[in-house]
Amino acid sequence: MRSQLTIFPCLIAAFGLLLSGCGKSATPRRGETRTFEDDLGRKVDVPVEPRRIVCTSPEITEVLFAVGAGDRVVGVVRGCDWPPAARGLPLVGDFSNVSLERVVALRPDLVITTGHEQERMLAQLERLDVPVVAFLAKDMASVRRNVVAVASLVGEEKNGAALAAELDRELAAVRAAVDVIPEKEKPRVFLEISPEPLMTVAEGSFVDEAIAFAGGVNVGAALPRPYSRIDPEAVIAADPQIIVLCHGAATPAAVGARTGWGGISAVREGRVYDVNPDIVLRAGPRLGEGVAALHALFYGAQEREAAGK
Amino acid sequence: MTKTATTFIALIAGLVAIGAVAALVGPGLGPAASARALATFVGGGELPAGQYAVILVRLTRLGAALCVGVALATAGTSLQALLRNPLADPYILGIAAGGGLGAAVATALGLGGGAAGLSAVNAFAFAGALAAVAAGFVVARAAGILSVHALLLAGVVVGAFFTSLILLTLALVPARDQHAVFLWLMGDLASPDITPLKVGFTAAVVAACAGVFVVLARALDMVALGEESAFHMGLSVERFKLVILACASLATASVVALAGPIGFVGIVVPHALRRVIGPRHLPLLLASALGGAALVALGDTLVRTTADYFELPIVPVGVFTALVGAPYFLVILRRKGY
Repeated sequence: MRSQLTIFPCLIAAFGLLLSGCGKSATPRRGETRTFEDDLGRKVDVPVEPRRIVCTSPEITEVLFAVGAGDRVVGVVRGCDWPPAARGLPLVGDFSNVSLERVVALRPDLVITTGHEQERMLAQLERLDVPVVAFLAKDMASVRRNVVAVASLVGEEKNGAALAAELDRELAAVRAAVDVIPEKEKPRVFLEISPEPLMTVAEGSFVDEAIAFAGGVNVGAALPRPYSRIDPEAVIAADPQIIVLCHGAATPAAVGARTGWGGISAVREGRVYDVNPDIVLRAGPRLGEGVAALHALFYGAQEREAAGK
Repeated sequence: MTKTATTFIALIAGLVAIGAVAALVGPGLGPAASARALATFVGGGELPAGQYAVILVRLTRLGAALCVGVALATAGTSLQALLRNPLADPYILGIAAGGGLGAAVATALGLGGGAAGLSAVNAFAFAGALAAVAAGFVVARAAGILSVHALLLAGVVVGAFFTSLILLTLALVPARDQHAVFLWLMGDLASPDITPLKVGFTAAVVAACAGVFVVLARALDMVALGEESAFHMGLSVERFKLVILACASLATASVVALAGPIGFVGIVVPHALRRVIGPRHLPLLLASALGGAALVALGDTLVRTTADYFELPIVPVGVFTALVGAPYFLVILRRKGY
């Protein structure tokens, strides 16, 4: 009996050794896996319960923390700065320049990337047999979908559902307020994502969708790319009633001082606003907050006036 | 009519035509409405705010393009004579790389897109451009004599060194700032931060420097034949070199600070015009000023209007001038027309 008891753990250990010898992975404990299809259509074998996650996408890092998997994140890129707890984590490089060596050194059992600009790293990690999945958010619906998918990926389905429900609630509140506004009363909005080159968002970006959702009319909607340069003359001609600065690189005063911009309605009426780019430009769990913030900028003044009457 | 006279008439007509198109075409206001608005603007009448702004933007941008063209083409002409090197262009002394480094550092320090007036990027680019020339100058001058060969070599090496510093800066800044720096390095006139004040300041510097070139056109003729013969013809060669070098650097640095290093204007325009009107510097400088202004204004108007009309992304004007200038330069070389 006694010998049987001792031999059993030995067998498990031997089996474990065998397994770890079989897989080339540097994973400390390779448990059960399952197949997960990511946003690029790749079918990846991922651990059922990942324990060491490296995340190279700021928005997915936000999701991971929001669904309660933050303590399993062992590495991020510069720019993964929310929630504040993510800031102290080991860095594996920049968003568009990830150090493969640092990723591997952290012995992740799951790497989460974005489909933007990180394809090369994705291919390299695949070759090293590190499970890597990519998420892409092209519209607001896919932001919600990603929240649910990431939560299921890390085994936090319940928290994911709760987070998605919260997002739904936030968006529903804005939708209800916007639904009663006649189309022609919606303000023309110029949302600037970079002053130099002068860039804005157009159709095909979730930010353009967010502007419309929040009750604004995006003056750059028809530009050729989702994130596009715009001729300053075109901004003047469109005469936006609201200018939203999403970059922190120019103040509302500097915008008013640009050549020919002094006469734009938004500048004349003091409706050039600086907003935190991370809540507007990140396809993460703070999307609801971002849409609500845009809505408040678009209609805050009018609502205050209405309340005063 | 002489070939020179014909060339001047063609250049002036071309410049006027390009200027008219530049002022009348754009996404903000149709050509007919633009013409009416422009007439009112020139006549000093009242314009609706939006129209006034569009006209102001277009004229500011056109003014910037003209400054860039005049500065690069006249500085290029003068440097080709001074350095007796057909490959000399205003950037050969490292000015583009120096200006680029200044702009990159200003962007890296988070000073980009600052308050209008003279913003940090402009100031840093100007300082960087002059620093590059100064470095080459210190290396090339010994015992009161400035060796143009040493200056050329030093300029190339200083340029390479500053370029490596630009790359270092690019490697250190976040991705979104890289975009701004890259765009700046291509040479672009689309920035809404190019104000009439900045253009006016640049125009004053460029006009002064171009004026000096024109006044010294005879001396440029002499020095183009060789420093020794110029000396025997009574030219104070060392002082002359300093003046030309200083003016060429100042003019180039001021337009690089305004719009970034717009390529090939300073080399193609003088060569093309030298073929038709000969090597004498007075007509050559005047024609180069017109031709440079016309080329940059044409390029900027093309990139501005085609992007809008064909719904393409906006391309910086520097890409156009290099794209057209480099092959054209090869054609001139092939015909050995320089």
